[in-house]
Amino acid sequence: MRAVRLGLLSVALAGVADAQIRASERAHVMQTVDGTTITVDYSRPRARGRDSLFGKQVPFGEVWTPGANRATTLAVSRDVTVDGHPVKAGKYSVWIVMAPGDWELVLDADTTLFHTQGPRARDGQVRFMVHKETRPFVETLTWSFPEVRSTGTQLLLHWATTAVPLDVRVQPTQVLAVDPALGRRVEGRYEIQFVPPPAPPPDSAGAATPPGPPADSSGAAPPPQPPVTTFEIRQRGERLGVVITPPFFEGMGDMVLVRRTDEWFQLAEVDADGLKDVWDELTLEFAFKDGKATGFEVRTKKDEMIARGTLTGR
Amino acid sequence: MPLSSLARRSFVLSLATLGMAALPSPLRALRSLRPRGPHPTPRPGIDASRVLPASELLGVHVLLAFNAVRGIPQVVDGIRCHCGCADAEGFYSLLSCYEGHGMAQYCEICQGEGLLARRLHDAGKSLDEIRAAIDVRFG
Repeated sequence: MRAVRLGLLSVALAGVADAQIRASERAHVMQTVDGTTITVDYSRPRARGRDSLFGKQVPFGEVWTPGANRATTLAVSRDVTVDGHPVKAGKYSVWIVMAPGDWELVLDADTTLFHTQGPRARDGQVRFMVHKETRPFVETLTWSFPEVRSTGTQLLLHWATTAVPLDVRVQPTQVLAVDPALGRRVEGRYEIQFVPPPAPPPDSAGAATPPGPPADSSGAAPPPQPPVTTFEIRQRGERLGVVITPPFFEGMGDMVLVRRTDEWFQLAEVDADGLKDVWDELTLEFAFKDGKATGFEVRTKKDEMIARGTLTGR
Repeated sequence: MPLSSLARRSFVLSLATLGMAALPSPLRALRSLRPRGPHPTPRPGIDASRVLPASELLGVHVLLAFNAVRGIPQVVDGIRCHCGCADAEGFYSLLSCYEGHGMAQYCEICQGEGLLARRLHDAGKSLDEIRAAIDVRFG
């Protein structure tokens, strides 16, 4: 009987071995900004009714990892700046030198450290002072990205009533500014003609594709022609703006052309922060004569031309 | 997602269906994951003998891309594929995507690179110019 009970117990324990409750559970937050990925891995301690966390539970003078158990890590897939300080692509353990006043943030290359192994100052670390704020109480230590822009994001550490916002800026993959000399080469008004899809291939029996409906000879008025779409491309300061008439859809924002090469451009929406959304599914390939654009082809990533723009006026 | 972004996606997809099957959503995600590396050197004597024949293609919609590549194997063998298969075992160049099982049948990046390479080659562009254009369009 005892052997049976022991056997049942071992089976039960094996089943729960992967589902242990931890005082500080693991978490993983990630944000991508313009192709750069920022990732924080950490454990999440809770306040559990303890007051004066900072200065008491986490004493001043201690080199503390904002998390628990294994050291919190920060990984960036490309070079970034954090509060203006350059941080090269890579993975770092994150520490804070606790003090009554401002805190010093430390990023260390050793990502295998435990929370009790706060590293001393050494070469290769990134160290800078950070700003603390008082915010509404949060029970569980939290890393988050409350704000995302096309040029960066806010990375926020928040526990109890203390928060540390960090301004992370990424290297842009797209450049909003267009050399005015280049912009003037493509300036003008263009009439857009959408290219109809190719005819479907013959069926398996080799029969030709059936012809379309016969021409209407009843004398009825022809169907209304769709409005002509035009692109008005003008250099405005550093931006190469494009006004599309009529707009492709309701709510379409201000549009610009982003240079990919001196002949290739892509449409992009802009807002107050700059580039908002680059329409990289399509590329405008300009043709030139005597240094001035004469028109362009709109091609998809599958290199199929779906529209043509013809210059109708400068 | 903001309404304008939803509307923009719908517009772009509708434009794309004018001339082709609908754009797949993984393109943008794939681009951020693709490894980056140099373009390979075309292998001496490379030809199109291993490019999947038309009779074995799954659909006519990829025939254009395969025929385009079939005509310029020595150019395509000098181009890296940006879809991520470049680092797969047995893959040497964009040409590899059209050989064997012809995985380019399922990948619009492979197809786009092949079609663009052929168009630029026919326009008299050099291999370096073609590589640069492909890096701009797909990199």
